[in-house]
Amino acid sequence: MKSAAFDFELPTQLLQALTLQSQSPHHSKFLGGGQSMGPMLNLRLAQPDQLISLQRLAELKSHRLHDAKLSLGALITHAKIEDKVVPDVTHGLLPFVAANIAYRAIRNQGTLGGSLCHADPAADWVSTMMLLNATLELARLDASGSVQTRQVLASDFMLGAFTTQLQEDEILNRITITAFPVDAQWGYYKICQKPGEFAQSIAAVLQIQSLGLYRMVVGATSSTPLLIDDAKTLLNDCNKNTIQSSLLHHGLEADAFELQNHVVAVARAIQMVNSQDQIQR
Amino acid sequence: MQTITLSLSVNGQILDRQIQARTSLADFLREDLLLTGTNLGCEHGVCGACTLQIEGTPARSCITLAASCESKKVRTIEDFQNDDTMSALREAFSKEHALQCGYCTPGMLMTAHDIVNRIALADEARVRKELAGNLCRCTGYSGIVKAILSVLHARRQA
Repeated sequence: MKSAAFDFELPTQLLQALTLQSQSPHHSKFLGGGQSMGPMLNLRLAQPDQLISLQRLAELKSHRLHDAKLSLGALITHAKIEDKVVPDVTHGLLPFVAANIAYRAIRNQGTLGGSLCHADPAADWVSTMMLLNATLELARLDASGSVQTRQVLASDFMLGAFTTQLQEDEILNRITITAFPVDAQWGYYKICQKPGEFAQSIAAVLQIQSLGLYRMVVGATSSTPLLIDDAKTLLNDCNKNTIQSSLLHHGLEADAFELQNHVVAVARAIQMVNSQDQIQR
Repeated sequence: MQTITLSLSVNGQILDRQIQARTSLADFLREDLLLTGTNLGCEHGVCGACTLQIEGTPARSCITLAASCESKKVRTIEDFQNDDTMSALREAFSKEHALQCGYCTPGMLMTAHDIVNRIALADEARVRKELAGNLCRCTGYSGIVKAILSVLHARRQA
């Protein structure tokens, strides 16, 4: 239960971090809050030759709210979102999700960007950022050695369990979401055996009538979360048979037990949208 | 480099040490500094026995690299001798039989300290939720929850 040996670097600038990676002759990994990498190292599931910690990149801990767009640095911790140190532009959704990730000791260190890059199908941010149609900014070095960025939609970022579009020489830099209009309503329900455990199912729904937007994400599946963009009928008819056939119709792969969990999670998330006493709204 | 020079503050003392980069914070504290109040249980961030404070907030020292604590302030259970909240919690843990073997206790106390200082209005359900990240195999949690609630209650009366 001890990590294999590795080199450790603690750069202070994005360019420096990317340059260190590009010059490394071996397998190097960027390190965020370390709350997934730590266990992976201890269990020797990950044995990088070099870790490049991003903790000192102050820019990646910043947030900016401009023209109804909230740009979040990838190193913002779950606790900062839970405590609303980061402005909440989602009628309470982001703090609600953050507050129920693992445990406070983990949330104080774990980061939004780290969780997205780790891409555990059962992670909350993977599903939430798909629901919010977030844009991810990835940074790398171009041929001349300066930083270039590309934008990827959250729904395109994750390719499968623990697999994303992020290349070895790229850093997830920022995540941008759009502020909810006043009539936005959300529901979020996850099934865990105990609080803070990895979810057995996650259902997230968003309804913005003024935009004709009725979106649903089902997470903690065997691969990428299932995104359903035309969930209007489902949101109006909270019947478990309808939910089940719709999830199967949209290609959800699950055994009977998993399917039952997903159906119940979806039903409860829809109930949250429809109930008047919504939490922290 | 596989061996690095680490400079950090532990329990108020600034230290400079040569360590292997792969050293966890918990191993650094226990083996290099002989601060054995921090216990190691699962070593993958689940059981909470190794919980301590980094920069004033609870963190898992088993999955935190010591190298990640460069220039940071770390506080272990040994540094809470004169802390009012911790003294009240210690007394309450004793009174409510909140421990048997005591292995989880340092981590429990660190989490309890955070609950009392952060969530003044926590009720039993909230305390149990916040404690979900600290495992105890002896007590069944009842005494631990009672102890924390009693300190919260006394705080609200004061």
